[in-house]
Amino acid sequence: MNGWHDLGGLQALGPVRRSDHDDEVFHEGWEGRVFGISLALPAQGLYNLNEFRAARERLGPEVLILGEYYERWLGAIERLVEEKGVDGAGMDAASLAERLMAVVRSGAPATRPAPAPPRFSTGETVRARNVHPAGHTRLPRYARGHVGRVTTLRGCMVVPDASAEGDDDVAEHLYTVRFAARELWGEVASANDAVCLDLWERYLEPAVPA
Amino acid sequence: MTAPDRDSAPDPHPHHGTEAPEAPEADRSDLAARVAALEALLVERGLVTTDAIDAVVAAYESDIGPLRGARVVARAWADPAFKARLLADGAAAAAELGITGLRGEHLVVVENTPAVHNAVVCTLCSCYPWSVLGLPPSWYKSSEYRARMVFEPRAVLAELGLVLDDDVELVVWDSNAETRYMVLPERPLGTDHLGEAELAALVTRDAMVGVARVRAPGDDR
Repeated sequence: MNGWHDLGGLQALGPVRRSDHDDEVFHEGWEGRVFGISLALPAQGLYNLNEFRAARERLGPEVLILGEYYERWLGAIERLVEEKGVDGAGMDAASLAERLMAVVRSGAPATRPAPAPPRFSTGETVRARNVHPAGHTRLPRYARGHVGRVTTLRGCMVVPDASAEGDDDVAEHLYTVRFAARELWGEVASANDAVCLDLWERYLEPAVPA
Repeated sequence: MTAPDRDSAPDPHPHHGTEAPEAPEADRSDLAARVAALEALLVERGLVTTDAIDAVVAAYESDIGPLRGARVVARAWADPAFKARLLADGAAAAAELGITGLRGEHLVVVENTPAVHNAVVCTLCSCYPWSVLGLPPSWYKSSEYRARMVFEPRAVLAELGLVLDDDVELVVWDSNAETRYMVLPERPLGTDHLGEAELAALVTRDAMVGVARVRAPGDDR
């Protein structure tokens, strides 16, 4: 979705603000509780990470631009809890702490078996498609329609666009694509700069090298 | 910092664009109340437990932070074979040091050299390599950093205190997928005599995000 979260390239912003509180993990107690809940509910299967991001992206600018950081997480969780219901039947709460800490320690990989061989190869020139899906996507607007070079194949990973709709089994090849800064931004950019993005196969199409 | 009244005159500071006002104090106590009500509801309905949340909060407040990444960097500086493995597969190499975990399953480590400087951002939200750096600082999650770092990275780095020569290649990694990026900073000169633990003590979070260099002891530049 072309939403308030897709900020790459926005110019109407001031300096990056640092503070003496930068090294505080949680500035207030409620932030830690929201963070903990945000990991606990997916561990209980209520929703997945991509549904969480999608719910957050549907919040308004008063939260996404003007609000506190963890206020966005809270808003997304409240929406999902309302949508999915607050019924703990069939959920194992007793083992949650142990299971959650196991995930924190070992992780939860997004890789899945490859459904097909990769379409693109390392070194190949590709174009990020000029698509504007109404739902969740991880193809930022600033890259769409631009040409880049595949630098690395990252394996097959769960596709966020599908996963956000609840379909957690759709996986595609993921490619690191390097875009020259001047390709993205024109002459204002340095000729020596580049931006790399990790793009799923459906975000890409072949392109002719310049 | 005091929160400016939203209805007052705009901030007079002479920088480009507008500054987002902070949420007034009244909204913050409302947030705390909303969270307490949410947690109480979820506990009451059997979805979560208080101790599960306590455990996660404690883990990220105390155990999981940039000291982990600093150990990885120090090992890479001290051991060229480890460094090669780290650059080939960041997650697997970090796991050799017992460093694994959430949002680090697909860790990629990118190397700074005199010719190439790397920096990391997440324009779409705030994705960050938790397993080696812990949770991100507020500035990394800010709209300003997220919007500007892919567009005018040299200006942002300069604001944060890092000036790059024009002929240095700058690569900005936008963490839009589940791959998470950590920068392997350049080892500062004058550190050949230091052991791994001493090297690790020099490595800052900011250097591993790519917005600062690592300084040798006694270097006040």
